[in-house]
Amino acid sequence: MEENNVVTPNEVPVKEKKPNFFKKLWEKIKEKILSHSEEVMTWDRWKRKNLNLNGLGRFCWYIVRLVLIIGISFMILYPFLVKGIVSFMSTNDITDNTVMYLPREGSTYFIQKALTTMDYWSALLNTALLSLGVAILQLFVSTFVGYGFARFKFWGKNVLFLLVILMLIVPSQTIILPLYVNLNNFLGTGLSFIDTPFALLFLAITGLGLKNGLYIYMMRQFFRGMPKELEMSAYIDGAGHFRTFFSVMLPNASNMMITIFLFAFTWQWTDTTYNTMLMPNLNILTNTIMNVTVSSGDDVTQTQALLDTSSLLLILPLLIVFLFAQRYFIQSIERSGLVE
Amino acid sequence: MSVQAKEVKVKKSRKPVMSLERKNSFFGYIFTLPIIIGLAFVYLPVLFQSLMYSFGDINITNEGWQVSWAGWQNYNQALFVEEGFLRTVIESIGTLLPQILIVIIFAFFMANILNQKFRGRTIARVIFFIPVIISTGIVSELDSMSSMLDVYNSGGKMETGGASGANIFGYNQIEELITNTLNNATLSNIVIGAVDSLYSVITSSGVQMLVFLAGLQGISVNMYEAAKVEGATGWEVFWKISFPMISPLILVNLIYTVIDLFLKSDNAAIQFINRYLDNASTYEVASAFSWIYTIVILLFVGIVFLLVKKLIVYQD
Repeated sequence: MEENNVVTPNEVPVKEKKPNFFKKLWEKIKEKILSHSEEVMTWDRWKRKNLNLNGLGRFCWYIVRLVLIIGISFMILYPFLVKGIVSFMSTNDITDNTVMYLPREGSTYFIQKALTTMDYWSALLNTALLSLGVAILQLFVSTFVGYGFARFKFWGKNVLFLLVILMLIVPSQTIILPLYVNLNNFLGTGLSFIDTPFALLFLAITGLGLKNGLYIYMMRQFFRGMPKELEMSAYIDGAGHFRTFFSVMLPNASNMMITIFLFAFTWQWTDTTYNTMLMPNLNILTNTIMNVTVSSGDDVTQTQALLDTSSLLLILPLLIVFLFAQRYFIQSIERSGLVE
Repeated sequence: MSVQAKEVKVKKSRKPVMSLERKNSFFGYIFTLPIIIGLAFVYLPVLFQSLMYSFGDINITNEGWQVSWAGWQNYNQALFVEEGFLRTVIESIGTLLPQILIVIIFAFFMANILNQKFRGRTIARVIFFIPVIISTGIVSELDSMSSMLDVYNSGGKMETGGASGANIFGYNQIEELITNTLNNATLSNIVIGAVDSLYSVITSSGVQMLVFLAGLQGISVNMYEAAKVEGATGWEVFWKISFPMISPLILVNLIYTVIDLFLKSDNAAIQFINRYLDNASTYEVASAFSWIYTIVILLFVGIVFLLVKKLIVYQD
C-alpha cells in the first residue's frame, strides 16, 4: 500500500506528457476551426454559437449539401469521363474486353480522325462566329422588346405578347417548311437566304430566332420584378426613356443578360432544326459532325468511339466559354449590392 | 369666377399626363419594334401558310408546291382515322404533370443551394450548366444515332459493360456502373429506376436552375441586411424576401418547363408527328397533327398561367 503511494508521484509526470500532446492537437484543431469562421472570435464564443441544436442543424445541412452536390456532379460528369477516356484509346483498346477504364496502349488516333473528318478548326471558327453574332443580336433584341413589354402601356400590347407566347408554343416542325420557302424567296424578291448565315441573323434581328420568345419572356419578367423607383428617380433627374434604359436598367440587368447570352450561344451552337434546314451545306460543326457516321465505314465499335470523341470535341468549347462567363456572374453579384 | 379658375387649373394639370401617356405608348412601340416587324412580315405569314397546309392537299409537281383547299379532311383523318394520336397526347400529359412539378421544385432548391457560399461553388455551377447543353439539339440527335448503332452491334463489348453505352451523354454508363458494382438484379433495378428518374429531372432542369440563380442574384443585398437587422429568421427571409422577389421567374420557369417537356424530341406525341412529317405525302396530316397539338399545349399553358397568377408578386 505504501509502495503504491510512492509510485504515484513518479507516474504523474509520465501521465502529464500524454495530455500535453492531445492538448496541443486540440489547440491546433481549435485554431483551424476559428480561422474558418468569418469573424474574429474566441473559442468560448464559437462554442456558444455553434455547439447547440442550431449548430447541429447547420452541420447536418452542410453534409446533406455536400452529398447532393457531389452526387449530382458525379452523375453529370461520369459519362463525360468515360467519353474522354474512350477518345484516348487505340483501336485495339476498344475491342479489348479486359480494358475498362484505363487504355492499355493509348493513342490520339480517334482525336486526330475526328479533327480531320469534322474539318474541326475551320468549322469551329464558323460556328463560333455564327453563334456569337446570333447570340448578341438575340440578346439585344430580347432585352429591348422585353423592356418594352414590361414597362410601357400601348394599344395591342396584350395581343402582341400572346403572339410571342404562341411563338414559343408552336412546334418548329409546323413552321420550318413554310419558313424555308419564304427565306428562299425573300419577300417575293427572289433573293435567297438559304445556305447563308444571313438567314439566321435575319431571324435573330426580327426576334424570330431559336427560342427567342423565351428570352423575351425572361427579360420581361425580370424587368417587371425590378423596383420602379429606379426609373422614376432617373426620370426625375431628367433622363429620357433611352437614357434610362441604357444607363439605369441595363447595368442592373447584366446578370440576366449574361444568362440569356449563354442560352442563346449554346443553343445556337448545338441547334439542329434551323441549322440543318436553313443552312444544310454551310461548314459548321453541327453539319460536319454528320460526316463521322458516313466516313468511318462498317466497323460499328469504331464509329461509336469516333462519335464519342467528336461529340466531346463539339461541346468542349462551350464548357470553356461558360467557365469564363462564370466570372462575370460573380462580378454582377458584387455589383448589384453597390448599384442600388 | 373662382369655380372657373379651378376648372382651368385642373385641365392644365391633366394635359401633361395625357401627353406622357402618349409618349409612353410611342416608346412602347419603339422598344417592341423588332418583334412587330418580325411577326408582321415573316412569322404570321409563315404561320398562316402552315395553317393552309393543314387545311389543304399538297401536290408536288415539277413547278413546286401546289396547295389546294381540302377543308377539314386532314383534321378528320388526324382525329378519327389515324387512331392513337389523342391517346398518345393524353398519356404524355399524364406522365408530364408530376415531372413538371418535380423539375420546378428541384430547380428552385438547387438554385438556392448554388447561391449559398461554399468552397468549389464556381466548379459546381459550371457542372450544373452542362445539362443545358446536353439535353438539346445535336447531342440528343447523336444519342438516337448512337443507340441505333448499338442495336446493330449485338454481342460486342457493349453488353459486357465496357466504355461505350447507348447514349452519348446519357445515364446508360451510370446504369452499367450500378449493375457492375451491386451485382444484385432486384436491388440494382430499384437503384437504376431511382437514378434514371433523377437523371431525367436533372437534365431537364438546367435552364430553370440558371434562371432562378440569376433571379436570386438580382435581389439586393440591402434587403437581406435590413431583414437581418429587424431580426428575421432564415425561414422568414426566404418566404418574405426570396420567394416574392423571385416569383415572376417561377411563372417563366413553369411555362418553360411545360413547353420544353411537351416539345422535347423524345416526347411520344412529337415522335408521332415526326413520323408523319418525314413522309412528303402525309405532310398535310402532319401539320394538322401539329396544329391540334399546339392548341393542346396552348390550353395547358393557359391553365397553368391562371392557376399560378395569384402567387406572383410584381413590382408595378
